[in-house]
Amino acid sequence: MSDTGSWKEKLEHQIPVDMTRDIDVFEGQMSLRQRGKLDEKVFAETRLRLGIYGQRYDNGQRHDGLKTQEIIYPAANSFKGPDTLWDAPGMQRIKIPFGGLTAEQLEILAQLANEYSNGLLHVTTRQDFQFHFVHIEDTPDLMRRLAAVGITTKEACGNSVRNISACPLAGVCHTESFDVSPYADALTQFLLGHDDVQDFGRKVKIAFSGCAHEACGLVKMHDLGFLAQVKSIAGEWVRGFDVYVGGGLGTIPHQAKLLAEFVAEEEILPLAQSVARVFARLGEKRNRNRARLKFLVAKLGIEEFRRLVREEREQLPYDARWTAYLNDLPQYRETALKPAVNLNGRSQEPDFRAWLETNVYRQRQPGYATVTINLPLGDLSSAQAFDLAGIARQYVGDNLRTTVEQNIVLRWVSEADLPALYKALKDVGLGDAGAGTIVDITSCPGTDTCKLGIAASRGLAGELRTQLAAQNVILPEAIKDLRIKISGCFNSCGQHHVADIGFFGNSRRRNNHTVPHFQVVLGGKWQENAGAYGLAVGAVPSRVVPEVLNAITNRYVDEREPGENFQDWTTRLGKKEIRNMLIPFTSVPAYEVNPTFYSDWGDPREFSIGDIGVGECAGEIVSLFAFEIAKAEGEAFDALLALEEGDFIQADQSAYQAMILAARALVRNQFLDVGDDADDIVAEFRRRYFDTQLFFDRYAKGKFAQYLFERHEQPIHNPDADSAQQLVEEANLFIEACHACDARLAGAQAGGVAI
Amino acid sequence: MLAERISAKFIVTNPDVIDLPAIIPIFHRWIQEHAVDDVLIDVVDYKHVPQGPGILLVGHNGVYSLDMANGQPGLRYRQNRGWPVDTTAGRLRHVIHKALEGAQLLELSPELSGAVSFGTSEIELSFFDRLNAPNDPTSFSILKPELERISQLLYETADVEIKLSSSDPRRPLTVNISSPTAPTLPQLLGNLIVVAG
Repeated sequence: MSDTGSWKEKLEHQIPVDMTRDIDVFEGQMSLRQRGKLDEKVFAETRLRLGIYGQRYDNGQRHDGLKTQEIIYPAANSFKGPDTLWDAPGMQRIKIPFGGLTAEQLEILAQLANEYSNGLLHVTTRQDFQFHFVHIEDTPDLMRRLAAVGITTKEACGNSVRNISACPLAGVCHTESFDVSPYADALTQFLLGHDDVQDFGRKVKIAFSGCAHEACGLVKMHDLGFLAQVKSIAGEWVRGFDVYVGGGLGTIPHQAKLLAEFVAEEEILPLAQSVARVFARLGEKRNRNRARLKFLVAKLGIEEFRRLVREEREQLPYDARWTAYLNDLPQYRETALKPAVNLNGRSQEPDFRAWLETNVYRQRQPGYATVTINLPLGDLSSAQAFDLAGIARQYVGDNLRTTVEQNIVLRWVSEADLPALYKALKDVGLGDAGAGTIVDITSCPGTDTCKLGIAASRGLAGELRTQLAAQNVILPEAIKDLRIKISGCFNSCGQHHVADIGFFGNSRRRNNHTVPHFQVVLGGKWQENAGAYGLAVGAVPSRVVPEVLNAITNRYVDEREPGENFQDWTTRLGKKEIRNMLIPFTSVPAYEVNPTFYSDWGDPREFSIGDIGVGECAGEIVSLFAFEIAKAEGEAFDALLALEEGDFIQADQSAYQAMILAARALVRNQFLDVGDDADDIVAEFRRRYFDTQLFFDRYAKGKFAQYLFERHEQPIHNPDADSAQQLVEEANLFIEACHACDARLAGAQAGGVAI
Repeated sequence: MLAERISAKFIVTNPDVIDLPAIIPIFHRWIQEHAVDDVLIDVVDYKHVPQGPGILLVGHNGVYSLDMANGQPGLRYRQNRGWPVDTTAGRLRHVIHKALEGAQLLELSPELSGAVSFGTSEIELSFFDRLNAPNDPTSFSILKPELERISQLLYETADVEIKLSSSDPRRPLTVNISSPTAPTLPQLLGNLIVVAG
């Protein structure tokens, strides 16, 4: 074992400067939080925006089946958010824009999973990866190692633009208008860390689709969705997008509305920016239950929302990045590792044929196929991920993608390689057939790890998968392609609204006990970009869900009319009749008769809802100022560390930068578009806060602002210990004065304090 | 440099009897009864992952698992933090001791009625720390003398085999120790206490 220092040193030259900076700042903020010098809400939102999420029991309480036990961590009085203990393990979400993944990235994910987590990689319903049971102190190195291979966790959680998703068949699909991948990538890069996406009341989810009739990118259940279209203009085929807005699942699902038809490709980035600005300006900030974009669109009406977006667009300062990526589009293409060779004429074993039927999509490029690896519950082990990376290198190179159905696809497989590829996958436990069928069940984490989970969605999904896979050969054709999706609560992270048969967890009080239940949701439409949402038809005890599923599917097989699909059948049957069908399943035997009803799938503890905590899905309601000033405080802390280390040049620079960031935080309260240029920030600060005396307090007047002006106008070329220390102190005083100014102005706005 | 995350695994001698769902209530009971010395957090079920992490009892410092890696069910104990010692030898003794304790507890679990037993002639040690213990010949050569010392004292013989499990640098450094003798779990625990003392 060698003396290798730290990951920070080792990867110093492999990480882009801005990513290094983000991670270093976060590390500084961790130190501040541990010293009690950074508000826990601000820190919580900060970590959320780096994908560092809370996990069940992180308040230090857990019901062990008999009683609630306190989990007494070493740092028992240290918190990383409201009621969230520092030492409690958490979840790390990792963004994979449009699911695009290289073999090397998969290997690094595998390494990180077995060093910092439980040796398991979990694919989410937004094409992200998640690791669970991660200690917060491991997160900076984890992020550095990801950054070194081009992966970020920035804005993976919190009130931000989440991972931008897209159809995993984009670019190889027979029915798409064109490949949306480079557009999804361009919008990801454009919005990541953009000033206009920092002040939302809730998260924003964006998706790209290539075609209208398939499930594709599911744009109609997104806050903002782009549906590719081509149009002949003056004899030339031109690319554009129908843009949808205000969709979303959650407790109250909304179908997205058409915001604009055929938006030209050069307009999609500024349009997204305009939507973000309208949402930041007018979206709900206090009541998180009404803060998603869908509520704003519903409240204003699509016509008014459209008008506001148009107005915003007309006022947007020009940005060269809006169209810069278009220059690279002609060069965008994936490279197949092997030549296209058809599969014809080779012998096929039965298990291979079954897999071929469900897991292989013949690409529009002749001789190539896309193979879906059907991951049980979206999980694969580190060892499997290493194996898969090796298999990818052998057959497809870097053409991997994650899917919103919690699978991974290998694209550009030469068809002649399919038998060998199948064998290779099967040898490492990744050869399950049934991708995209009834056995390929989607599930959110539920009570396994989620603070909001009510029932064990993964436990149920695992049980149903096991039972259905065992019957796979005898399952009627009519139900094989139905989709089952399960959420652990009403928040719909398992996307139960868009399944043929969905379930979401709840509970009922029966016989003086709490009994886990699942609400049955029928008739959702996965196709047509999540074209319709299912309706809840009744709750049944968790324990009988497999029987309920059998009853529903058997009746569908028996009673459906020729060509009638599942949605049409449920509509024809009617809610009342469906509810009648469920009634026999709703009774709960006495505890003494059958205690299994009183525990959940995969969890023998007597069921309790006492472990439900406060979720972090909504992020913390933190003002833009609070969030921005935290960056200044982190910089000031770095200045202090540099001072302690005798690096006076760095201390001077960091202290100055801290003042600039603090001034920017105040300026952005009035002028969002101030940008990052120090001259502009100081000029705006002077004009808006100093000249107007808004910054002045009763005793010091404008004294603290002079610290900023002096350092900005007269930089010190060779700072020594004394001058560096003075500037560090001045930076801290200036930051405090900015806090005080913001508080005075907020008080004045609320009518409380005179200024 | 010290490896920060190390595990020790003892393989089940009768893998056919392993029923992963049966392990779940046992680990829950360990939490209820504070059966092992750690801040215990939760039980995690990964039985659906072929040759995966199996069933885990997650603690703040360490994780016990009925691990299915390589198709060889075994009791793995992995320490992630909160080490009582800052030497490689001390850390190896610690994880082996915890793994032996876990294996013994599981063997004696009334829920299993004595059906599961662990082999003692082999130990698998893994180092999940690519910064301080990358999977390369240098790491192995630095580690080997410590492994020889501890295995000779554990097994009371110099006739032990110590070999790298895989030379693939992507995978964690994993070492297999095998002995011609197979002391009982209590004997190994006793020898370890002698070593520690």
